[in-house]
Amino acid sequence: MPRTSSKASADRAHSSKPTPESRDIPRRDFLRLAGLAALAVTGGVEHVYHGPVGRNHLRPPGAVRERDFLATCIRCGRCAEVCPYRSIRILGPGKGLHVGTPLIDAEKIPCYLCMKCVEVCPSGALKPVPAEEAGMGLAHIIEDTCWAYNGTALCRACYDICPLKDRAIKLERLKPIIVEEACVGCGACVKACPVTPERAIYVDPPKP
Amino acid sequence: MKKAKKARIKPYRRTVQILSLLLLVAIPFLNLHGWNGLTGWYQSLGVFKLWIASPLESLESILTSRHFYTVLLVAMLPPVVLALVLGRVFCSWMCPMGLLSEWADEIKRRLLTRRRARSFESKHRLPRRTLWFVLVGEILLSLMVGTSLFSIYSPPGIIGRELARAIFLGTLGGELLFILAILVFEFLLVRRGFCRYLCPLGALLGWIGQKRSLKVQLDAAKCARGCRLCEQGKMCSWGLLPRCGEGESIYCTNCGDCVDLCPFDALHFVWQMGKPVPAGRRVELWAEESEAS
Repeated sequence: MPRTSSKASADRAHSSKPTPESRDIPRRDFLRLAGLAALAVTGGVEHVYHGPVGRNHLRPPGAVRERDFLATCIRCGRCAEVCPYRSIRILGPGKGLHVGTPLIDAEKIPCYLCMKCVEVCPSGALKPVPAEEAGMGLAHIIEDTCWAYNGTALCRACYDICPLKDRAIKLERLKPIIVEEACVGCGACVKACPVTPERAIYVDPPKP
Repeated sequence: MKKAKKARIKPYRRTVQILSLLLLVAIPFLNLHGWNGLTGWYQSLGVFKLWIASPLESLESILTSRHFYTVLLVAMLPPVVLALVLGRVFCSWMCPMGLLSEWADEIKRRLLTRRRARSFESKHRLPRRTLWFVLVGEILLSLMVGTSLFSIYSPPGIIGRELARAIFLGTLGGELLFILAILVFEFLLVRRGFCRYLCPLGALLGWIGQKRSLKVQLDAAKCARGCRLCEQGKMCSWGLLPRCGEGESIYCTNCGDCVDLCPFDALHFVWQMGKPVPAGRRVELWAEESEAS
């Protein structure tokens, strides 16, 4: 701020009415605050737009493409309320714009494809599709750590739990194999996998 | 002072409000025990096969996703029809935020001394048409951001979501702080400030209901002009002047508090189908108002 203006305000300090000049300081503070806010916003955008969807973190079955999900979901939470397994969780305020949207953490409670949620979605964010078209993602087996592959045990936990057994996961010479065309990525196999600490099977969501 | 008449409408209204709030507790509880006949909260409510969706969130969802989902369009109809016929009754009869605000308001009224109660209607008032700017701005911002913003911060939605979260998971999210902030803002600064000036859903419902059938009408012949009880007691939560015919305005929510209050029976709920407000009388009353002050 030019020095003259602050001098002028000092000269008029005896006047009880605020002069335009005496308001300069708050205005500068305001500008500084606005600058900080703008910085916070630009820094926050990455966080705000960074979706919660990722490996083993999936949208419920029948969801529209991830890039359309935020635009479509009205965050009414009915999918979470009808989910009998409590698989679907409503995201909290730490998730930026994704607050209030549904997410499934397959490592905690996977989806078992009962398809109750798609029947209650009013917004079209979850389309009423049959279980075979849930389209939540695709499972991948880490052959290095999988017991059936590395010969630790005759494990077939993922095969046994799969809701689309013999379609999405097949056994070939006692080893599980994912059928990419049939797997819908419900994540039941992730939860069932006994390999610790990192499971030998994971689900990646579809491309946004 | 004239003995207050026995309240006629308010007990019913308060019952409906409390039941609406209890519904938000009952639904997650029933869902938790495996009964899914009722689902959701006031962003979208499922009553068996009848689906209801909040008009503003639905509108924003349709606009941002550019997809006309028939189910959503049909689910918008019940609240829209309700607002078309009865006006903004959701705000005063159902919204849990409205109930909390009114409770805070009543607490404040009791805390204030008689002297200060005269200035109960806060000095801080925004222009009423702020509401329309908020509605348009909110929709535009939603389009810019690409998601239905009101579905994030809708106070009735947050209350429903938090109650469901509390019942399902036993935890509370930070969103309740927003509700608390609104209550503090309304308590300390602007009376019913959020509901009156800043709620885009209320704005949309009011706009839909501007030609509503149910109105609070002033019987000018019965009104004792000097009484001003409907104004002195600062009864109207919405800062309206029922004695000037503002019960028929776009901002009235048909709560009926002024109808209960008027000792001369000059205010009534009337049922008029699409009849416009007689402009002459209103102008006359307004002229008188400006002369008096």
